[in-house]
Amino acid sequence: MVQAAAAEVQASVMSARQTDVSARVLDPLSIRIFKPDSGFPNLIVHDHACYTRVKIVRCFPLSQAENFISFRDSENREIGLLENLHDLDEDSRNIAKEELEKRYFVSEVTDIYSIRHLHGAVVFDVETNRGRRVFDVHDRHRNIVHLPGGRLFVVDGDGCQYSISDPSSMPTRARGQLYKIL
Amino acid sequence: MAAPLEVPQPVLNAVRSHPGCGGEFQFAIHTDVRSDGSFGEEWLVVTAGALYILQRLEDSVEVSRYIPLNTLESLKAETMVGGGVLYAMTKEQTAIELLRYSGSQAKVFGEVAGAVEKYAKTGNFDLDLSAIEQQFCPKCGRRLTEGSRVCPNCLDHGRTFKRLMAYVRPYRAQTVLLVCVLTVITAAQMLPPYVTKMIIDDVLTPATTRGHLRQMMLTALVLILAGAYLLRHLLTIFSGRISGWLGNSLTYDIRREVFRSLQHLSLSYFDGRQTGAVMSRVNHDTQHLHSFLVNVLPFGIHCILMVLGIGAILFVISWKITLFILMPIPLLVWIGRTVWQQLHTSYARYFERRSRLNATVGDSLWGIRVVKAFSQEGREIDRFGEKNLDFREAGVALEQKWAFYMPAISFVTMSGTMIVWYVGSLDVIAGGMTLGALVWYVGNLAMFYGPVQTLTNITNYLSNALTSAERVFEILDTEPDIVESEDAVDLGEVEGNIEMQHVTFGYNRFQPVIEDFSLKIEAGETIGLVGRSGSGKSTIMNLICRFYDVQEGRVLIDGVDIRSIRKDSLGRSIGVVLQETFLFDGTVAENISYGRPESTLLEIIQSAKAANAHDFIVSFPDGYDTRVGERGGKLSLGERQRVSIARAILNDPRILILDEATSSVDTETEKQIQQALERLTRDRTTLVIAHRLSTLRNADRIVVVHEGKLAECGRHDELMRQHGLYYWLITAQEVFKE
Repeated sequence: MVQAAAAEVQASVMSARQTDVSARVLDPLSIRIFKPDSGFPNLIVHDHACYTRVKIVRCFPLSQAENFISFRDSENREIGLLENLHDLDEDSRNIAKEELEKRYFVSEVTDIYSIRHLHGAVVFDVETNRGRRVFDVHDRHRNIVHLPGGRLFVVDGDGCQYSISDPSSMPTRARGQLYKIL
Repeated sequence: MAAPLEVPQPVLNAVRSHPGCGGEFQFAIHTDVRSDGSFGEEWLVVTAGALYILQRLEDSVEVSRYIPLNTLESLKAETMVGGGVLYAMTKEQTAIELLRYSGSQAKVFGEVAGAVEKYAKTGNFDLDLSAIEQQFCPKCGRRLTEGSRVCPNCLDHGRTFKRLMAYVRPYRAQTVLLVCVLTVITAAQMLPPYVTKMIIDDVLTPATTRGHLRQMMLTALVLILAGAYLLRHLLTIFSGRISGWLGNSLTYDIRREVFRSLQHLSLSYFDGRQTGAVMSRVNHDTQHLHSFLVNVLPFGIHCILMVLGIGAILFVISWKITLFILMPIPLLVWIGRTVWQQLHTSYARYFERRSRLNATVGDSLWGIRVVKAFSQEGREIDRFGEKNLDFREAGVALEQKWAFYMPAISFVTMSGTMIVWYVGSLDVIAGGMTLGALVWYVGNLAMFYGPVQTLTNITNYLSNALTSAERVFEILDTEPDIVESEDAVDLGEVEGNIEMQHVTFGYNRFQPVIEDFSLKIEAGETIGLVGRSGSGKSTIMNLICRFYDVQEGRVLIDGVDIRSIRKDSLGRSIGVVLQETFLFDGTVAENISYGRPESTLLEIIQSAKAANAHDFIVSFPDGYDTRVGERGGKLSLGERQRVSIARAILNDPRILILDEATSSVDTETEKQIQQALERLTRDRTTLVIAHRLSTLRNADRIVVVHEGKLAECGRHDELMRQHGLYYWLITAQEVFKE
């Protein structure tokens, strides 16, 4: 274990000595993602470099969910960037989407039953794409975020995330409730 | 096999009927997210032999995963964004995803993963979720505010109010006096309408009284009227002074107790809370209490007295009319509560948008150089424009609501008055009531509706005040973790031998930061502690200082377990110089002598000289009397460090714990600090988290800590020759400095 730690530090020293820091953009036609028995996604680049236990991470989780996806190896070093998820082949795209959906557990709010102010917290009772949910938001200034394009992003007291993509297109009752916090 | 409570029968049946089932039930828990990502239940059940994952289908429960425990290598809860995944790693290095969960259960599954993995390896199941459960109210399940166990929803207002009133006991006399004064004020307020009645009925109505007698009566009644007004106003001044003194005295007592309690609490209390949140209890919550006790409560008592007193008078004058005037009250209450709730929401929007506008303005003006450097003035103007518009909208909405609220209340009270004029006038015409009595009645009416309306909203203030009170009491009720034993000893003259024997400790019980760590340090030795970030170096320091108690093993000083040493004796024996130098808002001299206030001025100067601080201190216009500002903000980083070293030197501890600062200062200052540190550590047992190569070279031994264990130990040169972890850590430090 100590030897592994020493090797890791050594690797970071070697990496720090490298001079090329440009972003490596991956050609979607030359990469393939698959999931072996191990359960973690693997990435093959140009049919010869195979990276196991790859992490798939969004560079812009809030504003560009399908663009600039970072593939990282088991040491959390970046393998490369994919500009657009849709450029992948179907199987690879499905695996990537599945992994991203697991990594970013965001529920899309489809209707709002009520929003109440209760003892310093804002209590939401909503319908989401995953089912009905009641949650508290504390420190609303920090945890109810207005994103460009009118999108609303809410983080509850447990760190769970909720998105309201288009408040203006919600049912009338929902919009009336939203008024309390907008 | 015995089944744990609260596990649904279909789940238990599914496990029991599984072909691989065997052994005692150990544990069961469900998540809030199904494997398809929708909200719902899936179960993890652990028996003596295996681990089961069960899914609830429409009509049944099925085992979707079965893993014999003897094939399990590890169990990991990987927390991601807004949720997480629990997965098992088998001995064949296959990862099996078991369950998904939302962020609400991240901490729970972190604990569960550790406990189940340990059970698979050792056969001992030990899971304590109480620390997590304490984040939720046991009654209503609502999440509690960070660092607090007070649920505003379930607060026993009566109990809290009683406890708050217990602080009134030392001020019984003043409280009784205040209540008496308020009663007299209420009576004085009720007198003028009655006098008015007498003027109308007994003076102005012609047939009743003869000429000169009328004049005398008029003079007397007007004098009484004047007297009543004067008395009321004088007593109002007097009651204001009493309630001000009383309220401030009460909150003084509470604030003093809270601060005293905080000073005696262990470090673990502060680790689990943001400093701001704790400060809020001392300042904001006690301030809340203060305004309630000084303003709201006396006014509330006055309103209650008014409602009762005037209500009784109205009933006596005419019970028939009184029944009529009670009719608008439900509407009044409804408007009060409903519109107030909407106003509250509007205010919240208004303040929120104002806050955003201020933040935009502040951002833009503080960063004006950047704005101009990138020529983004237009963009800033647009950004401001948006926020300004939002703020205007919120302001307009708020004013429109107020514009409705006040006239609405006024209309309802007027409707009561109109009812009185109509019904009362009919009674006067019929001879059942005098004109004076009717005017008396109308005069009292205004004084009745006002307090009724006030009382409908006072419950909000009361609720908020009691919540603040309970949060304050929570601090008073918290027991410190680190307790001095009854037979604790005074170390006396300390040699400085330290020994850690098989120490295990984790801030979280199931995630030890230090595990089976043993180290012996001789008196006078200088030990350099080295390791990656999070390896446990600071934790070792904290344990030696007894900021936390070990969970296993012992820490000894001169052969005595530190848990058996008196706190003040331990404090005198160990000096601490932290990485982040903290100075109190006082003079330089006060900061240097903080650990030994009885020090002479010469001792202070000598310590400052040893710390290479004397020269720059004397160069200040106020010398040692210079006030350092909040957190020492008026001194530079290098100056603060040297004052901190002087403070440690003056305390003259036998053992020194030193966390070297990593922040860079100029070469000359660096040299001065180095010299000061050398003088500080001379002839003392020193444990230093070292960042400087020079410190490491001069250390008697270097201890390399890795993942809470002792990885390497030796002198600098020998460890460098080994080309192990120490070698690469030093090399990395040099590379990243370039």
